[in-house]
This record gives sequence, structure tokens and C-alpha cells, in this order.
Amino acid sequence: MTTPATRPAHSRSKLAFVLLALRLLLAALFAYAAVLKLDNPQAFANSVKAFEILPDHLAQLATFAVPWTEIVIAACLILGFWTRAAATLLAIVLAVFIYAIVSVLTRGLIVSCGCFGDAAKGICGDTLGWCNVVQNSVLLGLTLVVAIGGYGRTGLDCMVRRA
Amino acid sequence: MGCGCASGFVPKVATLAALGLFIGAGHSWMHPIYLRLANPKASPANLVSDSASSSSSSSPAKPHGSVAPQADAPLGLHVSLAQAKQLWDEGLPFIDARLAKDFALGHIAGAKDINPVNFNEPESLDAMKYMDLSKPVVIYCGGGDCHDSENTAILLQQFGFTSFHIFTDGFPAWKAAGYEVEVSSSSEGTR
Repeated sequence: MTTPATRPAHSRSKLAFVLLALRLLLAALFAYAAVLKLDNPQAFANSVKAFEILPDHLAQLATFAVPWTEIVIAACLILGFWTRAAATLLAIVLAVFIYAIVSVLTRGLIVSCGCFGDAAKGICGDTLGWCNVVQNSVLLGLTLVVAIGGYGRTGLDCMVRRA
Repeated sequence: MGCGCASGFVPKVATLAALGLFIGAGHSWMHPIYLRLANPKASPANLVSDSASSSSSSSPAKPHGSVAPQADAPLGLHVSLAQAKQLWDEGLPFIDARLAKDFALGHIAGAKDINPVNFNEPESLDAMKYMDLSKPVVIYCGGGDCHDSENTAILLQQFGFTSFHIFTDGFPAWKAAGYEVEVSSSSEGTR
């Protein structure tokens, strides 16, 4: 079995580059999503409420806790700080999103996503559909790659490790 | 790749989650007025039962075309064409719950384009911001068995509106009666 130590150098640098690119991509995506939510909390609150999963007080908390959690995760991914923990938390968040979307679809509710603004509408349309499940599943897959692969060769984790 | 050390992994995940939750809770505490969520009763079933109970308690059911109800009365949800016309004459806000493209092709004069699809759009939120939440609004869609009016009413309830009339026969009946309609461009239709 090939271990990190026995992998060829070019293979390791390729993987490190992929992990860095994934970290930055996910961080940019979720930082953008968080800013959109915090920019118009009422709109996101309406979305959360329309899912009919959380009671009012938790919906109000989720309206702010979800975007701030996304920002914390994005900061960690950019800095390469607690990378695996941040990616794991993001995977949990995405799994919850997927569960919520499937729940909405199976109940036949008409809900707008409230996730990535107009950018997501270009891909999956105005209202939630199975496209959003696929979209989030792809993001979950990418997140798991980071959660398993770690921080690569860049980031605070790496510096701390070398120190 | 990386150190691979798993020491303190779960506490790290929990710490990040707690940090997001803590900041979010603080933000929520500082800006509670932005959210108008306090209506746990909002559901299609409750809307119908509220309608039935208020109709039966306020006055006997009136036939279609009868005298319009008072705007401030605790009225049932559904109104006829004649009642809708009178409410329109009284200046109550009308909300068109059909899709934006149908709205653009023609709508009741002065109606706002707010439906379940565009409800969270900034334009819809801006339009609602300037409406009096305590006053009744009249919602209509395409008549027949369309449910967009009810769905929009639920969203409006969650937003904080407290009183609705649903014009059951909707835009086709209004247009057929020859009442005032407006046609807007597609850009206005998505306002």
C-alpha cells in the first residue's frame, strides 16, 4: 500500500495542489453564501421558516448561526487552520442541508433555496428541486476529500506541524 | 498528507460549531427586529380553519355578489368578484400570487407581484416593507384550483401579516368583468 511517505514527490505535490484548490474553492463558495445570508437576513429567515422543520426560535437562531458557522469554516479553510475539523463540520452542515431539502421535496413544499443567491438560480432554478440535492451532494463529496486529505502543504496546520 | 493526527479532532469540530453558534446567537440577539417569524400557526390547514371559524362567528355566509365585508372585520379568507372589487375600490393592497411572467402579461391595477417563488427577492421584501402588516391584503392567483394565493398567504403570515382575503376567482374573473387591469414589461413583472 502506498503511504504518503512512499508516494512519488510529483504525486504528493499534485495532491497538495488539489487540496489547496479545493480548500479555497469551498471557502470562497461558503463565504459568499454567508455574506448573502447576512446581507439579507429576512430573506434567509423566510427560507428557513418555509422549510417547516425548525420552531420559530430555532429558525431565528439558525438565520444567523448558519452563515456565521459558514464564515468560521471558510476562514479555517483559507488559513489551513484545523482544516480537517473545519471540513468535517462543513460536511455535517451539508448533510443537514441535504436532509432538509429532501424533506421539503418529499412534503411537496414550494420553497426558494436561499443559499447561493442568483448564482445558484442559474444552475438549479428559483425553487428547490432534486438539482439542489445533487449540487449539495457534489459539494459534500468535495468537502469529504478535504476532510480526509487534510491541509496539504500550506496553511497554519502545516506550519504548526513543522515548528 | 498532513500530520494525520486525530488527537482532539472531535473537540475541534465542536469548538468550531460552538463558535459559529455563539457569534450567530449574538448577532440574532442584536438584530431580533429584522425577523418576523412569530406565527407558529401558519399552515394551509390553519388558514382554512381560521377562515371557516371566523366566517361562521362573524356573520352568516353571504352569497356571491353580496355587499362587501368591512375591511377591518374579522373576515373569512375567500371573497367573491364583487367583494374583491369593493375592497379594491376601498384601496386595500392587492397581491398577485401568480408567476412573474403571468403578472407581466396582465394584472389587477396596482397589484404587487409577490408569489411563493419570488417571495424572498429583495424587490418583494421591499414592497412588503412599506405595507401595513396589521391591515388586510387581498391575494389572488389564476382562479380555479390554483393554490398560489394560499401558499403566499402562509408566507405573508410568517412575514407578519395578520389579515387576508383571497379572491378565489382570481385574475380571469376580474379581467372578464372588465375591471381595471395593467400590463407591465417583463422587468416590472419581476419587481
